[in-house]
Amino acid sequence: MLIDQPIKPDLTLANISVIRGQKLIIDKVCFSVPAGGICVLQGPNGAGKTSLLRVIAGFLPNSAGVLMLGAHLFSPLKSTLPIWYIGAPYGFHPNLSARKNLVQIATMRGLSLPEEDIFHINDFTEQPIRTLSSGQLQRLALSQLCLQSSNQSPALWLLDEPNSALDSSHCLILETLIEDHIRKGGRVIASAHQTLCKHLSPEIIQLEILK
Amino acid sequence: MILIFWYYFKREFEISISQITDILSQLVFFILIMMLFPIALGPDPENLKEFGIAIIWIAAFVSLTPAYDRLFSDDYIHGFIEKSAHNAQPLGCYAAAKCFCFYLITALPLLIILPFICLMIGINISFYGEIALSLALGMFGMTLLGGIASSLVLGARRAAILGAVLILPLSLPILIFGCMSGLALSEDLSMRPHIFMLLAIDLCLVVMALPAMQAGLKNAIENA
Repeated sequence: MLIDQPIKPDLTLANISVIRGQKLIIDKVCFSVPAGGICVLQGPNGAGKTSLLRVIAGFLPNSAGVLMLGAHLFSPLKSTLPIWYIGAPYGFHPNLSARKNLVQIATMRGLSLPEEDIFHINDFTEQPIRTLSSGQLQRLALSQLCLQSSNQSPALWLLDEPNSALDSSHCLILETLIEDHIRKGGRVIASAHQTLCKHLSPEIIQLEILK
Repeated sequence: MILIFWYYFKREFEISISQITDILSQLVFFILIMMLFPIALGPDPENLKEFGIAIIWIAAFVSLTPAYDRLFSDDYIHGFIEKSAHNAQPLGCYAAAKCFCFYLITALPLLIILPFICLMIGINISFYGEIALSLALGMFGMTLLGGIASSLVLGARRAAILGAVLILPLSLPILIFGCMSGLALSEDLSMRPHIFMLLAIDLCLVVMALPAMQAGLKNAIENA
C-alpha cells in the first residue's frame, strides 16, 4: 500500500533573514517542520515572531535564505499546500455577522462549516464582528481551523499567539485541536508567550531582539 | 474562477448594503457640487445650458474621486486582502469583483438622479439616454483607474489625496471624450465616435487594470 501514501516532505527554513526598514530583525533562522510536527516560536516582544510567521505565510519577502518543501522551493502563495495564517487582524469585516464572515471564508476556500461547535461560537454568531470581545474574536478566528475539507491534504497552520486572549478551557480545546491536526499529518508553527502544547514536546525556536 | 468572482461580489454587496449611508452621502455630495455651479455662474439658463454637460461630468468625477479611497482600505486594515491571497485564486479576481460592485452600487446610482440634475440646469430631458450612456461608460473607466490608484497607495499616509492626485490626470482622456459627446449632442451631430472612443478606453483599462491592481495589492501586503 505504499503507493497510496501521500508524500510528506519537511517544510524547511534555511538561513531566513529579514530586514525591515534598514534594520535586521531576523538573522539566519534555520529549522524544519516535518508532516505531523509542531514548532513554537518564543521570544520577547519585537523579536520577530510575527514577522517570521508572515514570511512563511508569504506576506513578507525574506531578504535572504530559502523556504523549502522537501526538495522544492516553497512559494507560499502559489503552493498547493493549504495554509491557514491566524493572526490579528483576522480578516473579518466589522459590519457583518460572525456567521456571515465564517461562511464567506468557507465558501471561498471550498470548505464546509463543521457540525460541531468546538469553540462555542454559537452564542454570538449573529452579532456583528465589531461588538465581539477580543476573546470571542480569537475563538471565531480559530474556528476557521475547524472548517472541513473533503479532499485537501492536511494544512500548514501558522498561529500567531493563538491563545493570547483565550480562557483556560478554550486553551485546552485549542491544544486538543492542534494535537488532532498533528495526528492527521498537518504541520503547525505557532508563536506564543504562554506555554503551548507542552505535552506534545514541540520544537522550541528561541528568537532574540537583535542589537 | 467565475464562481470565486461571484463569492467576492456577494460579500462586497452585503458589506455595501450594511453601509448604505455611504452611498446616500455620495449622492448628496454629487447634488451639492451640481448646485454650486448655478450659484457661481449665475442663473442665466443659456449659460448653464452651454456648460451643462461639462458640469455634470466634472461633478461626477469630483464626487467619485474621494470614494475610491474606500475601495480597498477597509479590507486592508482588517486583514482581508491577506486572507484572499491564500485562497488559491489570483488577487485580481478579488479586485475585479470589488471594482464591479463599486461601479454598480456607488457610481451607477448617479444616473438615477441625473434626470433631476438635467432639469435643474436646463438640459433637454430627451437627451437623458445619450448622456447616461456616455456617463456610464466614463464612470466605468474611472472606477478601474480608481482601483489601480487606490491599490497603489494602500497603506500610505494621506492615501485619499494621493490617490486623487494619481487618478485625475489619468482620467483626462475620459473627460475629454465624454464632454465631446455632450458637445456633439448639443450641436446635433452624431455622438457615436466619442462613445466608441470611450468604449475603447474602457476595454484597454480592463486589460491593464487587473494585473496592475494585483501587483498593487501584493505590494501592499508585503509592506504591511
